[in-house]
Amino acid sequence: MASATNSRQLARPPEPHARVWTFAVGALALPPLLILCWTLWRAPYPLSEAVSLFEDVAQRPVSSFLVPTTSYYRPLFYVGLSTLWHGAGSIDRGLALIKLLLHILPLTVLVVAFIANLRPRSALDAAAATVATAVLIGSPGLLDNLELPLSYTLVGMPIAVIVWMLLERERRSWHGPLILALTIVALGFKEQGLVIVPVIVLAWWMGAPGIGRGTVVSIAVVAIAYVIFRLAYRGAWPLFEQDVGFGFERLSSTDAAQRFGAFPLWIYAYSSLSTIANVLFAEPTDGTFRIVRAWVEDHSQPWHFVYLFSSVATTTLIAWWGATVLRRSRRSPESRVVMAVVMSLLACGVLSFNYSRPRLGGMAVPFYALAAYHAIRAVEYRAAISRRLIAVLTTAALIVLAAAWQARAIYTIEFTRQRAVNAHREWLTDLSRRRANFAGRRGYLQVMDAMTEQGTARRPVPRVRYPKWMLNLLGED
Amino acid sequence: MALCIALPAIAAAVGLGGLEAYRLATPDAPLFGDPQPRSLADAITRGRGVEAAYPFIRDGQDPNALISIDDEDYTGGGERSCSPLIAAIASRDSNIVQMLVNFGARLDRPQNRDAWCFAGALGDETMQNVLAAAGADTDPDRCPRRDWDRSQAPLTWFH
Repeated sequence: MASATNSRQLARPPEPHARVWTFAVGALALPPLLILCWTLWRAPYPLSEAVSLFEDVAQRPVSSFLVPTTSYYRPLFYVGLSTLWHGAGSIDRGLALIKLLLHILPLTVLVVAFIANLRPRSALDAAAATVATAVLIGSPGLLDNLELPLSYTLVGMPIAVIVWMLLERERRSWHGPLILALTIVALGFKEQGLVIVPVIVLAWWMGAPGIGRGTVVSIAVVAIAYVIFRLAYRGAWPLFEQDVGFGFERLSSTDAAQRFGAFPLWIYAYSSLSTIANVLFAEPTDGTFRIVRAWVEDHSQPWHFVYLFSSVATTTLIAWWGATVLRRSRRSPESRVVMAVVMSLLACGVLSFNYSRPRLGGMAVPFYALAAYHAIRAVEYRAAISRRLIAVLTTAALIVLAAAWQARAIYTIEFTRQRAVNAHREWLTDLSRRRANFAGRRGYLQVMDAMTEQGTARRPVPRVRYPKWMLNLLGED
Repeated sequence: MALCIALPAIAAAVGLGGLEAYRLATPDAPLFGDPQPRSLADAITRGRGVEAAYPFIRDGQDPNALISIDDEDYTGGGERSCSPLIAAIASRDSNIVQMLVNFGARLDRPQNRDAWCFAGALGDETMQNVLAAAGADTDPDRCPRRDWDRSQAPLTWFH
């Protein structure tokens, strides 16, 4: 009893220097954030994804993006691209603005808002915040969403954090309209924005102070209208849009349709669970158990263990902390974080029923990292009042966990660099083939020619040649 | 305890910051890649990849102009001249071949006319496909009737 009281007292340290600790955590997050932003700025748009996308933007009237003609519906993303493409004055300026406003800015806002939301008030809080920030940057759900120019979910992720901050602040008259507007923007960039809706509804139901019933009803109506609209305009969606991972194998959409077409619900459930499990356990990826397969086939890599250990340990801590918090109260800010993680994961899973990719778990990543902060913080405070041996062992375990997530955060940087190098190489090697293949599409060739300079002029920042042992710990080549 | 748990983040921040400062000051340091080769021939024959070869073409070097190769692994000893395309085929780097074709190498020029045949003589079917896709003449009857001894340097096939 005395211990629990002490723990609660420690959980609210009287230290008045929240701003100092927040800045300290921000300062530690600055190098990886700046390097990521610089890498994105220097990276060329890829030839394979970007040219056809910009061809659409160059040729179609902006209003045409509002009508769903395929299963991919991202109206505000395309409206944003079109506005910047046509309004920037030159293609180079347009491309630079797209990179700046739709990639670098959202990434920066995500990390800054995340740390501001944590608002650590003590050294122990700050230590937990550094690990949580590494969880955010090192998660595959973020890494996979850093691909140029596909910023659909990268815009939604900071919106999720800002909405969460507004939900947990004292209510102001502008909260409701702003939360509604942000939800619509996230939704307009990609259907993954829907993840915010159940999080908002549940937070309100659990007593979040920053939102009223009217806003919740408005957001629910918008979400329902959106879903009805999408279903009404769905046309003929294919059974599987992309390759589907299953077990140790990856099936083409055609093969998947042949194998699971008669009753696809099981594979849909599998893909949904895969996306959730990827956030929680780093496995499977794309629906494929690559780490388990490597272990079975006896060619495991050190990074497999780094990924599994860091994710499983963090998820275990979150589960332990979440159960404790929910037992204590169902309407506390911390219990709302627990339910936000659960709800965002479920929503990400449902929305990725067709195929699983790490990027489809992106909207749950800020909530997962937020929960990681609270869980690690709870462990720290418990260790602080424990016997010396337990405190030392707990600290040692947390150092290993923190180091594993830092390795994953560094891998996010290195992978983004490699992606830029690959895009540059593609421009150098693939132009003739594309010119031949797309000879009948004048618009495509015009856009490709206009973008060739940005694709070839500058050599992207290459990866650091870390020692082999470190590369083995960071991640796959 | 807090300092210990934050230590990996501090190490990462200081390490990453330090590495990038070092990169700014010494971009050619081995930690960030090999130094830029002195010539297109070096870039090709030393396996430095398309990223190292392209700057020469971008800076105005004619992709059809002959280059001198002085590398025993390629010439069997002594210096020989060949086109960058032929050198890239000899190095079995299809990326450089594709880059050269993209940026001006002409397969109908005399120095490149036997490129497809040469790739065939080396037994490099992938390279032959790359060249065929780029518009090379794929008539085998046109090829010189010369075998290539695998124990010999590739460019000896031409002489």
